[in-house]
Formats: sequence, structure tokens, C-alpha cells
Amino acid sequence: MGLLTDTKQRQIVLRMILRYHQRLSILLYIVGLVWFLALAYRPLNAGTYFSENALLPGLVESDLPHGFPSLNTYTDLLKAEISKDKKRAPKEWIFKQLQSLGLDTYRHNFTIKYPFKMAISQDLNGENIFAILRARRGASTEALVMSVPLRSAAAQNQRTSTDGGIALMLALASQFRKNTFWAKDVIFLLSEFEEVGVQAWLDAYHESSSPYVIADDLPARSGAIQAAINLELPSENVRYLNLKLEGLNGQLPNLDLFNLAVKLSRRESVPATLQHRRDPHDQESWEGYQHTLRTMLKMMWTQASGAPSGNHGLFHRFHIEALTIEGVHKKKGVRNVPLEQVARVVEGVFRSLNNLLERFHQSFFFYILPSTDRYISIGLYMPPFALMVVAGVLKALALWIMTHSDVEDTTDEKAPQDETEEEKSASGEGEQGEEKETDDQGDGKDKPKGDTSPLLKRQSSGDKSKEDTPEEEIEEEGEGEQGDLPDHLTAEDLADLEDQDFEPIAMTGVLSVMPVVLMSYLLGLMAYTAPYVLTNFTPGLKMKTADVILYGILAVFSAGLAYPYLMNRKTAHEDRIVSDWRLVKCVGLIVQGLTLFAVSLMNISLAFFMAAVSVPVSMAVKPTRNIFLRTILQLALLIVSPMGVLFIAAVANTTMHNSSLGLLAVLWQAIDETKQLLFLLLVDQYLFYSWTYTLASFAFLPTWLLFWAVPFCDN
Amino acid sequence: MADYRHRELLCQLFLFLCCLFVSFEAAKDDEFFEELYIKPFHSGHVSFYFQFTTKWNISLQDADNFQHYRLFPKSLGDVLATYNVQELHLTQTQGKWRHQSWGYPVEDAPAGAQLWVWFKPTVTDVDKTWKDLVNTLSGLFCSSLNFLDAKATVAPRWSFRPRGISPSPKNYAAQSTYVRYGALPREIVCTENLTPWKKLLPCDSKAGLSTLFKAEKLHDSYYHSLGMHFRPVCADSSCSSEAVELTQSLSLVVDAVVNNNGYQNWAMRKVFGQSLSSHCPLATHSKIFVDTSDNQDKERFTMSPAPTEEQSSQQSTGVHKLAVYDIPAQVKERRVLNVGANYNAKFEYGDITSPPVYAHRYITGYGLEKGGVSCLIYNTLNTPMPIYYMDTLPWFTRAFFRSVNIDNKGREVPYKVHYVPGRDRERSYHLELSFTLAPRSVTKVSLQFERAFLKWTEYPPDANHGFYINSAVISLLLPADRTFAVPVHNTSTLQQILSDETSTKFIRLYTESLLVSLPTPDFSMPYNVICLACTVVAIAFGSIHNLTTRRFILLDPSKKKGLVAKIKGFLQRSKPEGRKEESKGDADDKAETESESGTGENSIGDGDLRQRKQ
Repeated sequence: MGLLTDTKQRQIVLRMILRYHQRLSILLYIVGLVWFLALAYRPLNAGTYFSENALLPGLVESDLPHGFPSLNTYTDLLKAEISKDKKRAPKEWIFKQLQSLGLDTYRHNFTIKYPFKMAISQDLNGENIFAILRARRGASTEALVMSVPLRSAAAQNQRTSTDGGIALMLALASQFRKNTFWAKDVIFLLSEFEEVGVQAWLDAYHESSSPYVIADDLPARSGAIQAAINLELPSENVRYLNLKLEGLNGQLPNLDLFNLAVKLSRRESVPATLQHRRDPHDQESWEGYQHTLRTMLKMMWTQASGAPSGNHGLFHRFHIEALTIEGVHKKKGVRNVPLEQVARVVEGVFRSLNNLLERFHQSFFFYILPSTDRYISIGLYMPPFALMVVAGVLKALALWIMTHSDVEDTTDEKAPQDETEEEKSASGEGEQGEEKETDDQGDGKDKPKGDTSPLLKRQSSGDKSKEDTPEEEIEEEGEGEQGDLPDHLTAEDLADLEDQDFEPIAMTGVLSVMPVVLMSYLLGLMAYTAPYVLTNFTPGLKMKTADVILYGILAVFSAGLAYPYLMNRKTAHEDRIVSDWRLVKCVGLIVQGLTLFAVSLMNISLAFFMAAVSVPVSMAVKPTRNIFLRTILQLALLIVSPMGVLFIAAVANTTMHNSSLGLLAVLWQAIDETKQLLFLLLVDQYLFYSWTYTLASFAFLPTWLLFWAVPFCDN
Repeated sequence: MADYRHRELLCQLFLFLCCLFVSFEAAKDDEFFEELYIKPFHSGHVSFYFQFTTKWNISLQDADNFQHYRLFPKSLGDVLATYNVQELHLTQTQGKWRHQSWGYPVEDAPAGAQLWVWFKPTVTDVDKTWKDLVNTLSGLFCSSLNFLDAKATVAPRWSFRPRGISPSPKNYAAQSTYVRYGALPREIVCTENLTPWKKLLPCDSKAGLSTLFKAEKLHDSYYHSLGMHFRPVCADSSCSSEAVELTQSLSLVVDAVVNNNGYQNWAMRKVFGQSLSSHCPLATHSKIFVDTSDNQDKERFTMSPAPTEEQSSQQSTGVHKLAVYDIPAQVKERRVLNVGANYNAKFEYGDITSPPVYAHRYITGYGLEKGGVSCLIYNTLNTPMPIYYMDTLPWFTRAFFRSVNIDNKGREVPYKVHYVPGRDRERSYHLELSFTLAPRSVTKVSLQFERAFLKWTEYPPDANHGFYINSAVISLLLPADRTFAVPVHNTSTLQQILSDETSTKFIRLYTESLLVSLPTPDFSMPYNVICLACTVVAIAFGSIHNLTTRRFILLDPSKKKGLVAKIKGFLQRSKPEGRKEESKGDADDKAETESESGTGENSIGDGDLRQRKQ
């Protein structure tokens, strides 16, 4: 706080920032990144524990009879039923079974309207089945949901079958019906069309409407849903249980729910995994660290997309804690888990949930998991993430101080600029990495002399013991005056402009960058509306919707790439953008910092990946006359652009799925994958209210466009 | 002399006997009935409805009548007389009556506790009397009725009319001045409520039907409800004199199918853990009625033992058949009575015909800012049904009257309304609507609310559990059906109710009670907030204090320093080594001040102040 009052101390801080900001920000970024990745190392994260005492996991003995004969009966009956009609799921049969158990069983119809005017714009009709087990003596104020996606035998080629889940649900329903201890209603939900069915049901349950998933009114409801478990279980050869957490927009269920599932599967000695990866034996070893790091990054990768990883993901929006228990099917089963054991896990989970007195609120909602028994809470991951982002903000601060002092100088003293030296030293280098270093050296050496001179001068004029003597200052000032490349409007220029009846105010201060900022946000708006507008024309073009969207967005993106040229023609007689590049970059860095921090509070993974790729490039970007350097900078910028990141994600996805491909094949497939990702992103946005595309077009793209303008500015 | 004294004694004895006789005669004006009505449902459940009726031929308006008690419980009578109660209805319920699968109960009740009272017109301060009454009743019934304060109480205008005869003045029943209604949806009903309720019975649980009340069996049911209704009635059908009536009811629904391997068999021994071996000797009649309307030719189940008699009554929808057991006769015959039914075939679940009018109410929306309540009211009849709908919302769900909407197939339904807006921490929102349900349709009543922030001390210990909203109340007159209705003025006992053949019946339905979550702070937060706030205050205070209390003095560098200042400056320069740094700092500041004073706007640093002090 001394900073507020003590001009001397403030100047020391400013001096420090100006002198060391380059080195400091690179250091901060690297430390942040390394620290973040190191969080997967066991001693740096924390062991999971139960915060919610009421859960009492595994306290009660399982009520299921030995062997659970009804499960086998249902499995056999279901198999027979499925073999009758391979194309459709046996909905009728399931409905009858649930009804014959004495549950309040209902159907729920919904219609999917395709968001884009596709060539085949038929509405798709779906039907969910749900049954409510009314708790004894309960007034239906609270409920739990057990959901299973309905998949026909034909659709099972792509995804695992859920026969086991259906049989298990029926068997557990018949068992739960006999139990007297239910304090909450249990809703058994079978949803069609994967996530869409669940979305329709939840929308109808909460009476929230959607223009694309049109759900009929529900004939019956229970009370407030406290938790939901989604089961994706094949009927045989379950090797292990994979727990899926990532929901819409990167929302996660309360950590207690995940702990509960892990704890109970351990109790029934069913192996539980995260991202299909078992916990390493020795987490403290180097191998163990690598393993947990990969698990963590895989989890973050899934979370970053903002797409739900299963049917559970849509419950989160309604403040319902939910996760998916996926039984992983292996053909050559050596040690398979019988379905009965899985049934005991699920029964245990529901009985624990039944004990809940309050909604889940005790444990963490924001966390990253490196293994099933360790977690990294928001308190642990925020500091390294903050370091990474602060690196950019620090740079912005330094730039602001520079431009600010210059503005002052133009009024009373001449701007002592020393960019020529920096320019010279930078131009000698080729590689981008080295360029950073030179930047570093240049700023470290030159800037304190050049840019900060007015500040320094004030302080040092009476101080003989300072390192910079007034004589040197004066000399440098002289140099600055003589410098043939003033990067800013000098008094002479101002005078010239005044002669030409230009308003000088428009050319200085933050206002001068407003056109650039405005333009980039306009382009963001264009990108946001483009898919909808463009697909309106597609029926005439006879193109695939996914293609139209990809090419449409590429077109908008190209417009974005070209906008610095567009700006040039409008603004001035020169063919460059007449605004201070440092101001543009400063504003860009601040917006970037704000955006990343804001996103990190919702979806840390997305924010982390964006920060990891964009912060270094955005820090390095600057205008230069060196064509080579400029090309490299622009290439780097292109790579970290939203489109570039999407492409990288596509490449990563392709290599993750089939690692044997050659480089070219990977790239080729990645283009297809990009198209697919983009399409899914938009479908998620329209059907489920996913934010990822909105974020990309209103936050990431405009920020990036600001940086894209920097190389086109005057230097 | 001795003789005279003897005569005097005799005379006194005679007088005493006379008094005794007179008072006995007077007290003989009361009757007690114990009855049980059993009805199997199409959903596989079986309902047991106990009703204990005490009828006392006195006038309620004369407070002196509540001096001598025989069958009427004194503890309750005293309370009623003290607080000038005209009518009192208390229900304590666990569970929700599922109208859609069970039809209508004899007496519906919302989940939790509910109390509604009509006070005599002589009461001047109704609110205060109500407050005293709920506190007394809360002690009498071991229930948290004392929470029915002004925030939870409303004065319903249309939905809760007096059920008994009303006193003068004429418009007494038409205004809501003397009626108060309150409900506690969260109240959990358990043994501690059963015991005081049982103690009001003339035979307690020593004899008669009440011996069946074993708490552990009652509370294992699907639904159970304790009721107590007090009202003034006509003593006879011509209504020439007044009487008061106390009805105590216990309703129980059990799932017979699950308990009996798929058969809907039931037996008293199985349901209550014991058979009946006595009747209450004070009762005028003790009877068990079993509804056998669905079992016309005994093709579905057989009763054991055989009933004493079979009754049938003609109702508009068909013949209503009852198997009647006269308990004293049956007990005398076979010492223990274990009424039960054995079904011939396994129970099959299927679609159930819905009752004429039923409702489904739920919370809409998500998130913690706004929300809504919707109520779907189904009318399966071919005739339009006028109804009253009453909804009370607590003050922390701030309802908006403009959002009230009644919709039927996309058309807005015209309605009459009585609306009392809530006030924060004082009064709840009270909405009564009167409108007509179109035939064979679903009408939706919906309204929106805003969730309030509570003060942090207002949250209950389990803040994240959520907050309850009372059930809505739907009142209507149904064309007579094979359904049950609230007893009219002169029918009191079950026997009369079951054979009632009037053409319309009054029904009151209670919908689901709701659970809403309010924005809840993290309660470990206050500590963090205090720490953070203190830090911020400490930091800001220091610097602001510094800024505001510092003296700013302009120094003129052109002015020649006086001798004193020169000496001071000299002294400072020659200070010992330890002070050197500070003095150097001072010199810095001074230099800066001097150099910048040309602009005339610079402050003097700390150094100068220090200098002055020195």
C-alpha cells in the first residue's frame, strides 16, 4: 500500500518491472507450466476423502441375495428379447417389466429438430421410458436417478452395449421395491438417442424449453433430484469399471460422489479406473508420475472440450450430481467381473445416496484427478495457472508503463526511444526461440535506458550514487531525439497532423486502439452467427452440413486474417495500422488474462490448454520489418489461433485413437476430424447449450485477432 | 336433636344423590363409536382407516358446558374452551396420498402437520389467540405446531369454510376474519405424536380397535395419517339442538403385494402384528367395514372369518358393497378377531382408472435465482368442474402475481382471485383462485418466484437440504361417486358416511409439498470472509490514514535557507554511521522536492516530515 502514497517506492517497482519484465514473465510462465504439470506427482497433490459424513459408504451389508438370481433371469430374458428385433431396443418389453414390478411407469416422447437446415431435415422422434419407485412414507420431495441409455443391437457396433445395464436396472428395481428403507424416490430412466433423450427428459422435468429438443410434458414427477448414476454396462465380460465424470461445459460432479463410486467398487473388489487407466502401484516413482500425469492430462483433455463424456453430463446443468459407470468389455477376458458384483456396487452407491440429508455440497466441485485416489483441488491448481497467466499480464503492465511514459514525454519532453537497437539485435536472429532471448536481452539492456529514462531521470537527477548518471541520460535522450525510427507520434508529427486537421486525441491513448478492438469483436460476432446464417443457404448448395460449416467458418476466419489490411485503407495515408502496437498488445494481453481467468473458474482444463499455447506466442508477438521473423511470428500466431488449436486438437485426437498412422495420414484424417469436432461443437451448442463455441467466438477469437493485428502495426 | 340431625344428613344425602343423578343424566348425552374401514386398491395397496367419533350433546356457545367430562377428553376440551375454538382440524401425516392410484381418501391430508381453526365470533384478537392456541396444541400433541407463526399462517377466504354448523352472525362463514390455516410440510410424524393422540381416546389403547396401534408396524406403512377434527354439529336430523363432535382418525396404507409374494393378501395380524381380542366397552358400536365392491361374487378374494352382515348401498356409479364385522359379537364368538382376505390369483399390475379430478404439482426451472411452481389439474369427467385452488408460498420464494397463469390447452382460463402478497420475514404469499376445469382436460396453474437471500442466521442447520413449500389445496364439489367425502352436517360415523347417498360430495385434495433450494452460502465462508475483510481494512486503513493525516507543505527552493536550517542540515550530515542511510534518504527526498518544485505540484516525502520532527 505504500505504493499508493510513496512515489519513490512506486518508481522502484516500475523500474523493476521495466527492467526485468521480459525475464520475469518467461520465468513465470515456465515455472507455472512446470508446477502445473508437477501437480500430478503424488507428494504435490492430496488423497481423496469423504467430506459428507451422511454418505456412510459401505456401512451397510448388501441386501442382494447370494448369486442375485433375478439378475441372471433378466439378462437371459433381455437377450431373448433383443434377438427378436436387432434394429430396435426392446422398449415395450422393458416398459412391461417395470410396470409389473409395481412401479409408476411412464413413457415420455420428444422430438429432435435439427438445428441446421440440412438437406435431410426430418424431425426425429424419440421415446424415453421412466419408472418411479415411490419411497415409503415419503412425500416425493427428493429423488435419485438411475439411468441407462437405450441402444439397439445395430447401434452397438460403435458404442458398448448397455444390455447389462438394463438387466441390472430391472433386477435392482425389483430388489429396491422390497426394501423398506428408501427415504428418497428412485427414478429409473431409459433414454433414447443418448444425451438428447436425457436432455429432453430433464428439460421436461424442470419445464425448461429448448428450440431444438422439443419434449412433451411429463405425466409424473418426483421431487428435487439429488444425484444420478448412469450405467453403461455390457451384459458379459466386464473387465473393469471406468468412471466418467466430465459434464457439459467442463462441469464435474461433487468429488464425494466420485469417491463414493471408487470406494464401493474397491469394497466389492471391482477394479475402477479413470480414463481407462488404472492407478500405478508406485505413484512416487518416475514411472508412476508419468502415468498419473498422462491420466491427468487425458482427463483435462476430455474436460476441455466442454462436451459431456456421457449421459451424466447433462444433469450437471440442473445442479444434479451425476457420473457414468461404464463397464469395459474385453473379448479375451481373463479375469472378468461378474455383473452381480457390479450390481452390489450400484446398490451400495444408491443406499449411500439414500442416506444423504442434504444436497452434495461438502466436497469439491472444482478439481482435477491424476488417479482414482488422489485429487488436485482448485486451491492447488490455481496458483500455477495464475503464474502462467500473470506472465502475460506482467508484460501488459510493462507495455502500459512504456506507452504511458511516452505519452507524458510527448507533451513536455521528447520521447527517448531506443527501438533501433532492439530492432538491430532482433533482426540478426532467425529462430523464434532465440528471438525470445534477444527480446529478453534487448529489453533487459536497452529498455531501462531508453524507455524508462524519463522516470529514471527524475529520480536520479539529485542522486549521484545511482547506476545511471544524468550525463548518460542526457546522452541517450539525445540519441532518442536523433533516432530515425520514432515508434510513436512525436511532437513534430503531432504538429504535422494538426496542419492536416487531424484530431490528435484520436491517435493517442486507449481510444486509438478502439477500432481494432471493435473490429475484432465484430468478427467474433460474425463467427458466432456464421454457422446459423450459412446453413440457411445450404439446401441449395447440396453440400454436407458439416462441410458447409467448416468452409463457412474458414471463410470468416480468413476475413479475420485479412482484417488488418482492411483497417489500413480506412485509417490513414500509410499502409499500416495507425495505433501504437504496444497499446494494442497491452490491451490484448489484458483481455487475454481476463478471459483465461474467467474461463479457468468454469473449465480449468480449457483455460490451461489455451494459456499453455497462447501465452508464450502472445508475449513474443511484435511488429518487425524483418520478413523472416515476421513470417515465423505469424505462423506461430496462426497455430495458436482458435482454428489452429482446433486442428491441433483434431491431430491429437487422431493420434490418440490410432497411433500407427504416418504423419501425412494423420494430417489428412485430422482435417476430417476438425470438421467433425466443429460440427459436434455446434450441435452441442444448439442442443445442450454448450458454451465452448460461444467462448471460442466471443473470447478466444477476438483476443487472438488483437494479437494478429500487432505485426501489422507501426513499429 | 339426634333425630333432627339424622334427618338433616338424610336430606343431604338425598340432595347429593339427586345431584349425582342429574349430572349423570346430563353427561349421558355423549356417545362414542369406534370403526375401521378397509379397502383394497387396484394398485396392490390396502388402506386401513380407523375412525373414533365422540358426539356430545351440548351447545358449544355456552362455555360452562366444558366443566364436566365423560367421554370427551378433558385435556382437549379445556383447550377448546379457553381459546374459544369453534372448529379445529389437525392432521399429522407421513407420506403422500397418491390420488391417481388410490382414489380419494375419507379425509385427505397434506404431508407433515396441518392445522386449521375457526374461532368463535366472540374472539377479539384472533392472531393472538391463534398464537396461544398453537403453542398449547404443540405441547398437547408433541408436535412443532408452535412454528406456525405469522410467517406460516394465512386466513383462507374460500378454501376452508366451517365444516360444522356456524354460529350467528349470518356472514360468519363468508369472511376470513375468524379462520386461520397453517401447515408444516417438514414435520415428521412418529410415535411421540401417536401416544398423545391415542390418549384422547376414551379407552386409550387398552381395549378395542386402538389396541392394534403398535408404532413399529404403523410406521412401516406407505402412508399414515393421524387426524383430529372437532366441530359443532346438529344433535339430530331436524337440527333442533346443537352438539359437538370429535373425530379422531388414523389412516394407513400398506403394500400388500410386496409383503405377500405377489398376492394382495392381507390380514390384521400381519399388518398390525396382532389380532383384535376386545372392543371398547364405552363404545356405542364397534365395527369393521371391508369394501367388497370389486368382489361381487367372491371371485377375487375370500374373507375370513365370514362377516357378520353384508351391506350394499346404491350410488350413482353402481352398487357399493360392504362386509361388516360387529366386533363385540365376533370377539365373543371366537375370542380373537383376525379379519383378512385371501386372493385367488397373483396380483397383476396394470393401468389404473384415475379418479375424476387429481393434481400434480412441481417446481420448475433450475438455478438459484428464479423458479416457478406449476400445478397440473386433471379433470377426467365429461362435465366442467368449478374448483378453488389455494397456494401458499413462504416469504423467501417471492412470488409475482403478474406471473400467475391458468392455462388449458393453450387458452387462458378466466379466474377469480384472492391474493395477499407476502412481506419479507412477516407474512407468506397467499393465493386463492376460483376457476372452472374444462371437461376431459388438463389445466395448468403456474406462477414464477424469485429466491430470496436469507440472513445467515436464518438458515437452518441443514441449509443445503432445501426449504419446503406447503401443498396446494384444491376444493371442489364432486358429483357423487364411489369416492369418499367429508361428512356433512349430520353424518358423523363411518357407517353413516359409507351409506351416504347424497348427490354431491365435497372433496378437498392436497397436492405434493415441494422442496426448493435457496442460494446457500458456504458456511465455512464467514471465517474466510472475516480474515479477508480484516486484511483489506487493515491495509486500506493504513494508507488512507497516512494520506489524510499527512501535512503537505510547499517549499520554495529559491528562498534562501535560514541559519537554523543550515545548521540542522549540517548536523544531519554529520550524524553517526547508523543513521547514515536514513539521512541519505532524506537528502534524496529533498533533492527530489527541490528539483520538482518548479512545477509546484509535488508533495514532500516522508523525509521532510521526519526532518521537521527532528
